[in-house]
Amino acid sequence: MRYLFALRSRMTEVRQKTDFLRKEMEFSVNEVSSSEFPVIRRGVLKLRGQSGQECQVETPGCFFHTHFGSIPHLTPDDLQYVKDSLSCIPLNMTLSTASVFADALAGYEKSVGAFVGYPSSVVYMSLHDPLVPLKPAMNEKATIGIWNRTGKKKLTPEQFMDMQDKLKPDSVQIMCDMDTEMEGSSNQRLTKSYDSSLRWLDRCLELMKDRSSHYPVLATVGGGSDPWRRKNFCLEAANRKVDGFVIDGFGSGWIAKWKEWEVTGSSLFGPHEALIRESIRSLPKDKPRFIHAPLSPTAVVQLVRMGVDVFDTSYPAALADRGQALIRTGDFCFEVWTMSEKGYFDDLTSLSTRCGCYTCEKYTRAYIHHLIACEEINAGVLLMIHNLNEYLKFFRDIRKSMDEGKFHLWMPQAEAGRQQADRD
Amino acid sequence: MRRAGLSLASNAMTSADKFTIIEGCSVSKARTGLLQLSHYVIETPMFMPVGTKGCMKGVLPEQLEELDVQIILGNTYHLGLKPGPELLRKAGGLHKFMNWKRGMLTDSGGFQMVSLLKLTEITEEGVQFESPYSSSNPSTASKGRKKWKSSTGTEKAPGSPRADGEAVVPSKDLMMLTPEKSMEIQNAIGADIMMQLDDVVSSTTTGPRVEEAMDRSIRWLKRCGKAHSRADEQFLFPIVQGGLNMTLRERSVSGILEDEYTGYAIGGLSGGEAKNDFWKVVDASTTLLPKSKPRYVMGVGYAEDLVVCCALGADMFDCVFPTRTARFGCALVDAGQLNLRLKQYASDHTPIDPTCKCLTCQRYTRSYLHHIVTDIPTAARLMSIHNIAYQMNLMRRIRNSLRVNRFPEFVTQFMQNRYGDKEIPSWITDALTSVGIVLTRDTQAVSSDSIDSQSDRKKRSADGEETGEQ
Repeated sequence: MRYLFALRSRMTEVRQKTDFLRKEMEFSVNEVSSSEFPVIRRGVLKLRGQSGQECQVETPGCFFHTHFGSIPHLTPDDLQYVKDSLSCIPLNMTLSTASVFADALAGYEKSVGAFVGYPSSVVYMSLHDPLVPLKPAMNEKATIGIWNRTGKKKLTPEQFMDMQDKLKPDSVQIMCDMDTEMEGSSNQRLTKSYDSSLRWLDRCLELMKDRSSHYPVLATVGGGSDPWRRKNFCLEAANRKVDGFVIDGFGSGWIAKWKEWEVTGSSLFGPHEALIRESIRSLPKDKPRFIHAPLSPTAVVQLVRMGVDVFDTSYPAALADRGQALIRTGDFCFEVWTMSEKGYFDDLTSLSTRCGCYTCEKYTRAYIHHLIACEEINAGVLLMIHNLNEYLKFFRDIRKSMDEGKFHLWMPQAEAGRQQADRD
Repeated sequence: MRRAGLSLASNAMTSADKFTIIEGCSVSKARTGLLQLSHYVIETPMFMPVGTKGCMKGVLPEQLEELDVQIILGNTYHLGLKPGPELLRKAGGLHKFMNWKRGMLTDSGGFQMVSLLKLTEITEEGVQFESPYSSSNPSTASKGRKKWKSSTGTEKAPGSPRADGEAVVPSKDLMMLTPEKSMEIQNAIGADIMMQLDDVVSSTTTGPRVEEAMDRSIRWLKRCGKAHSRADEQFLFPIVQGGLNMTLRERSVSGILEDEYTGYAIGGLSGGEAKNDFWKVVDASTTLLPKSKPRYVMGVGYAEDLVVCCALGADMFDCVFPTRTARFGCALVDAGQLNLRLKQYASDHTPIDPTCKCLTCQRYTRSYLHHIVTDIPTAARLMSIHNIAYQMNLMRRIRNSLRVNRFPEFVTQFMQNRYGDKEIPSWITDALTSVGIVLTRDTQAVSSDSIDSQSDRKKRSADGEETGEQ
């Protein structure tokens, strides 16, 4: 892998297409790198659902983040207002919340996507909801813990695969122990995490072979704060029959830390940056890299630059939860507005003058302010519709700029945007 | 005879007559008609879902239209405080502010003051109450809920005084809602129908207070009429009061009828009175009120109450119940309510109601709803959508049965679906009997199939008229 990278110090273009044994997930990516610019990866991820529906996610791109199976705040008909919504929706469910209805699906004939109200969808089942803080110390030697409203549930690899077989998603993030702390995790703890994760990965792959159930699987690359373990884990995972990778394992509360770093103006990801780079460097280029977190546009640009392909829409949802709007103030600039602020009380202009989505077309800032003041759930609905549109358009624009060879334009602006956020 | 009278009434329609009766029941007092409002023509009988604070909780305006909601209700008390009449005027009225294109009705604000607030004093001038906000700054409200309850006035919202420089009103501020003030706010909101400010007493109150309230309501009605500044766009509805006393109800109606109004409301009910008293007051009031005008029974929303009130000649209804109960996880069906929180629905893969065409029933099973209900906002939305759909379907079935003159059959079948083998409450049989609809207790003999075929025969004989859905 490293050899490959050495070869690409000059501007090169490699087209790779991989057909897997299981045809449910296909990824084709076009990677360009040069000494002048960082890596630019532009691709298409194709997922096929059990009933034959096919979903194409252009990368860099997003899955729709869900909570208990639903896109937060929305009912399925609201997607008519979301410009980017495809005829087949790529849903990102999380095992921690979907587990509550796993048993109920036994007698259900249709797909889990149909169960949650999106019959035309493909479902990727990740482990934890990025908007629900990870509870530390959930994992044990033989089990991972997932936490939902019914309490803690411990899962062995067998139970984990049992649950997946009940839910029957269209692709799966394999269980792993990513609950290591950035600082202070002992060598012993890191070793345990590393060993368990790899052992579980192998066991799950083995179980899938034994059973008739096949899912495209994503391996989570952890390794905590140790670059050596990170690199090795990636190399080990890359040797397995997996279809993609999730970059994680920064310990609990890492998003909060990113926020801190973002505000203090140091490197956006602080010490994580080197670790993310280390992970990605050791991953095969032809497979998609996922990351699950509520990431601001600035953070997304940085991660895209580092070679991450697939994100989720938890960021617009997190903002809507807090009564905030993501506002594009320039071609490359975003701001986050807190709509409960007094200034919006009698501001009868549309939310964003540049947007033109349902919310911006039909309502005013004053109305959204009013809904928040009254604690009406419609505030979240209108903000979510707008934020989703804004976020998905941002991804469209990133891809467009890549296609036009102008991705570099995002970088200085992203820096400036960060300083802007710093000032605010 | 009855029909002839009705058609005569519609022939004699003048431009002032906004209400047209299309068809009346040949047995009971029920009728179906059209009420022409500034924003929309609504079909009656009609249920009006309540969107208290300038939105229907969890349902977007386009979704309401999809559900065939034709008129919604807003609360003057809440809207007067937040966002306030000034901003509503600036925004061009609540319709524009909330993106709602159809009919709207606002209450007077009096009821909330009596039901929500302590330390209310009612004088001839108006209703005096303590401002629920510790400062009159509307934008601190999201944190203000708990502060409202502290009446000590020691807490002040952060950030006051207001950005616009307006002085902070002392927290112990006493405010007065007069008929004039109510009209001013309602004119700013700009609803199609406005309610007079009335002196509300609990429906279980007896004695001279009831009479005082009734008389004062009539005096306040006149003051409302004088203060009303947009009479050509907004219709003022008087409210019949008088508690459970028929003589007072009679006096109330005759006081109100001194002037002509587009429609009339029957108030002071749905406040915990016995059902036997309730239906008698509705019955007496509809008999006293002019046939050619719509009658609005305030605060009615249970399906059986709606059916009975329609039989008694009522045309419009409102209630928070369907949407409120939805948010708590209860789905409305003909047989009553499904509490989807119950374990029994955990693996129930049928929709709430297989015959319902709403988004929720088309897309979701009881099982999924069971797992999310009361937990995530989307669940509250899906449940509200179904319950509003249920109310709208019920009213449509009533209207359609009236159009083909099958209302008594509809009522019979509805009560059978609702109560099954259980005994139908006596107030329902009494109320229906009083208007000529006799629910025979041997309904077991009349299976629903035979009612269907019976109505099919009627349907065929109704020479191609639009059929009602049963």
